[in-house]
Amino acid sequence: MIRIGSWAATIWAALSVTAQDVVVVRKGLAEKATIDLAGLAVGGGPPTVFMQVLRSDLDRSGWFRVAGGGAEFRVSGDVAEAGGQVTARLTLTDAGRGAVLLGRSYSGAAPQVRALAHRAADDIVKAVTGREGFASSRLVVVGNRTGRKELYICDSDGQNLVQLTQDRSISLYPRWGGADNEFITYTSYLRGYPAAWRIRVTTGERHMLAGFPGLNAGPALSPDGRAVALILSRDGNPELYVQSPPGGGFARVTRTPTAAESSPTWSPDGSQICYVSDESGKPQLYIVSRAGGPGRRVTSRGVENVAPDWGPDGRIVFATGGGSRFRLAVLDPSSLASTLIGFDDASYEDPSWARNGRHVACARVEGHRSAIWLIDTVSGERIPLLSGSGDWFSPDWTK
Amino acid sequence: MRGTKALWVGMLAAALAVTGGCRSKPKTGGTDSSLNPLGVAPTGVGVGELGMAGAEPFAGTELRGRFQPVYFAYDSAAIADAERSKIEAVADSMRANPARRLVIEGHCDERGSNEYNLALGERRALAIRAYLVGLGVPADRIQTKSFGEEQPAAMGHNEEAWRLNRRGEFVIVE
Repeated sequence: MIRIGSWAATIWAALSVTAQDVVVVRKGLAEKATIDLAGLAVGGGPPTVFMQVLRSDLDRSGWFRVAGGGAEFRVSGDVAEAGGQVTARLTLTDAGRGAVLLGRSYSGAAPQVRALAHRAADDIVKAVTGREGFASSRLVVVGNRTGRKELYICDSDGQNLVQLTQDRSISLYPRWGGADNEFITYTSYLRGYPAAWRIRVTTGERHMLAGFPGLNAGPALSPDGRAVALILSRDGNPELYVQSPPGGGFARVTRTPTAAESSPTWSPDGSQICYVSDESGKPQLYIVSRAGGPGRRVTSRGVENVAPDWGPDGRIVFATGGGSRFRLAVLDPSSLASTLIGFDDASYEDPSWARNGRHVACARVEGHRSAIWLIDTVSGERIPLLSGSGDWFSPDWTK
Repeated sequence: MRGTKALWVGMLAAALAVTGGCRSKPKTGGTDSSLNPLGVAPTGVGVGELGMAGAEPFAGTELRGRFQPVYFAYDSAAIADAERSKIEAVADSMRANPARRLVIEGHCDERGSNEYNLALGERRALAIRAYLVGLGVPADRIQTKSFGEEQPAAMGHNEEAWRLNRRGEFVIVE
């Protein structure tokens, strides 16, 4: 149990006074503000961990550079442990104007110290930029370190890695969904053939959504959690279907007897689905109304355009390329303009938006080894989150 | 679900009417994909017409390696002329053993999107299935299972391995 509250009524008052200034981003998106953490007094043990996690979260957020004296923003307060309980009391000040932007306390059991720091980091990002942070988000990924592909969950910094499935089968393409990310849907060969499954994350309780002979793959819960988009071949060819409610009846969306569909992802309002189809001879992205009708092709350049993820601000990140090398690109579905995010000679695959609509987790494949990397689509900064101990694939952020 | 099953039976009947239960080879008109993207001969049955929704997945003892794998070109589910005789051998065996059930496994090489490859592998398996149905094997005795790029037959990262991994395999279920 994590408790968050104001740690002084006067600071709450200050926060509400400055609320209208809070959403002003003073700098260009790629330009970082400096922030000074020296005013935060920390004891040894878990409080030290709090400081380390907060510092690296702020670095990773894309908005800040942690600096010494003369910084634009200052964090002060203290972090202490007593009786197995960690309490952090933080004040965030805009140094230039002397305005208090945030005053908040965080407390929880010592093993939760990392979660406390993630919450604090997200609150600082929100207070300065008005935007959501993603430090307290989590990732689900596929890993093969046991010799089989299983699902794993980890924090936004790759820590607290937990193995979710122990199926000794093949588990693929996990995606979070439902209120408070209570579910993960995925494709599993648990019964010998590819079937669509849904796991309730808190209990591990599992339900098969579709298990017809043939292909049942890529289930993705709609934003309201009341429907599942997935690929079935039950009518004789891989096609896109919507199952509503999850576990209920199926409505067929595409009718392409000479093409294969894959990789559905929902628009933020749940009215449309973006997917991959090789109708043109090579895999390309299409958008279709969830109610059906003709799919509209939305990618034109690039030999293969695959693995779309429709983000919270309406833009679609996907992988473009062919053969053994892909790069990431971002598509605006209204203008059909796309921006290539190019780096090195590695292959960047299976991107997933973080909830800030700015950072992307993806699989980076180099020398036939696959690892999970975090990409800032604004600054181009990129760092590894999960690597070694086998290969890691198909990351998906909590919504 | 009942309606779906009725539809499926109807489609099967239509398919059999088209093929006339024929035992002659489907016409092999080359690999010109403009005629039929799957390389299924005109007298055969196109993929996308033979559903499996009314059935349960086959379960039982799996017998592997009885038949040769069918190989495919990159990013293609079209059956090449040179591969047809392998499928015809399977059809002969299926007709000679009327109780036998078959699962066709579709596989891809490691290139391209993993998730798209799962759909492509299914298309390969379905293309072989349609060809078998065109040769007179009842559709309800054949199911498909795609592994995408998850189960390569050869471990290399070059065309020599990829060529062996783009394949359809036949598994008898008893």
